[in-house]
Amino acid sequence: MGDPMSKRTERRPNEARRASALQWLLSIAVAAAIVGLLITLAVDERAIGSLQRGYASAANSVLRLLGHPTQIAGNVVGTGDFGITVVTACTGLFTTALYLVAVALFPTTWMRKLAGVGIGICGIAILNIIRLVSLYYVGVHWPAALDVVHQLVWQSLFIAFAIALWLLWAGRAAARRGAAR
Amino acid sequence: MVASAEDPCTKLPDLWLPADGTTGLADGGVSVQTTTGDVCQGDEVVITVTVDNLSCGDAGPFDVTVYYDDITHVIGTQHLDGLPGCEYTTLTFVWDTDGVPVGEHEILACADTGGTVLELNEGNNCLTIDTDLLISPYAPLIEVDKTVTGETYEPGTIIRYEVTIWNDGCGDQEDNPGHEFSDVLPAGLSGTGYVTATSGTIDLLGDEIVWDGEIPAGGTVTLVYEAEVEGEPEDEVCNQGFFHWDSDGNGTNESLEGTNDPGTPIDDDPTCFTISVGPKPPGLSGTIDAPTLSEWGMILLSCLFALVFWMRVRRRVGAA
Repeated sequence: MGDPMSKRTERRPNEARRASALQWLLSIAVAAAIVGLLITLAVDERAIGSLQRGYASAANSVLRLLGHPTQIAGNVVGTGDFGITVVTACTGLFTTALYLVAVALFPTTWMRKLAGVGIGICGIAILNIIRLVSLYYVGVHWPAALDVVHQLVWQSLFIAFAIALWLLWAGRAAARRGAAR
Repeated sequence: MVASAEDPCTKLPDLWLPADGTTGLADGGVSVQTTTGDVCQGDEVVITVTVDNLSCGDAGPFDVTVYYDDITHVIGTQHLDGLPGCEYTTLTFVWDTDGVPVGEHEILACADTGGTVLELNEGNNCLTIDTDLLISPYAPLIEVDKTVTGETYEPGTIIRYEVTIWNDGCGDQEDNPGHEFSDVLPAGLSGTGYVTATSGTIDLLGDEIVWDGEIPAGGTVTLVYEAEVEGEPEDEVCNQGFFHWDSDGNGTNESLEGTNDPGTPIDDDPTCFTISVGPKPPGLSGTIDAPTLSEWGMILLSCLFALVFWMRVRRRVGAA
């Protein structure tokens, strides 16, 4: 028979590895669930329609606050002359999905992941509303610049924002975990 | 019962002055109400007046008077011993315009100005036979029109002024000391240097267009000059040129005539235009889709996420 203490110490790393592997598996499952949920949302007409109308309504409220006599008709926000149709690709769903997967897979506590999810969804949604409002302004006042602003400026900003937001969250989540140790 | 030609007419007479060219007067007669037209001051105007008795009743003695402008200015009066029923008569008046003010005058003729004939209708005894008979002085008489044209009136475009000067007087406008015509370009315009005149000498001095020359009696001169629009959109640009002329023929330009914009009903008013806004870029119509990311944007974002995720996790593993 061997020393029971040494058995205990041998078992601990194994348990830790098992726990870590379990957490990884769980994280991957959650990430897959997020992707599945967002795909379901994207293909469900009622659900994605509500999201589109929500963005159109939010952009319309901001534009009216800024003095523009815009109106919404379904998922279209604008005036009789010019408007923006909020289609699925305009909702930032893909960006949000990538961000959430990255949050879900990052090794940290579930509470911090939950905070990361909230920060990401709200941050990307707010940026998207700002984007829609600014594109309306550009479309009305500088139509010649619309393509550049839309294709170049806002895509770059969106990518940079999503990455920066995740890095910020991941940095803080890692630091707290380190501090907790 | 049928009336015969010999039946005596018991109606009152009715004198009137039928409009020039009216037919159906007695014996196929035609009414003549004319003047010989515009003259120089002091020349004679011959005025022809036709008086008709519309009724079968004979008219007794009466006067026919011709006036200019109103009944206080008598040109002449002729006395008729009478006018039988249905008959007419044509009278000629000679008007010496010496001392008559220069300018346009209205000629009015009236029958029975003394009111001696009792008529069926007393309200048709007068007729205006000329409304704009012009008496010109034996000196220049200047009228000036000024128009502006341009394809657009946007900032940076060229507009063209055309000034037409008429000497309606009976004397020549000489090239007297000083500029005969001057026009200061207002703020918002800058002369391009393009200036032409059908006679005389035109020049651009700073922001002022000036012209020197003579205009014979009855003659005209046309000036054309261009300017560049420099003002702000929606500003109204107005200006008026002035012609300095010799109204008394003494060799000095003591009178001033402002240009008139013939496009308005006001006399001698400035010529104006409003600077228009440049053409807007064609506005977007309809609606656009504005996806957050294109396909390449999505690929780039995926790659970047994978990269930073790997780096971040690697750093954590290294730290552990």
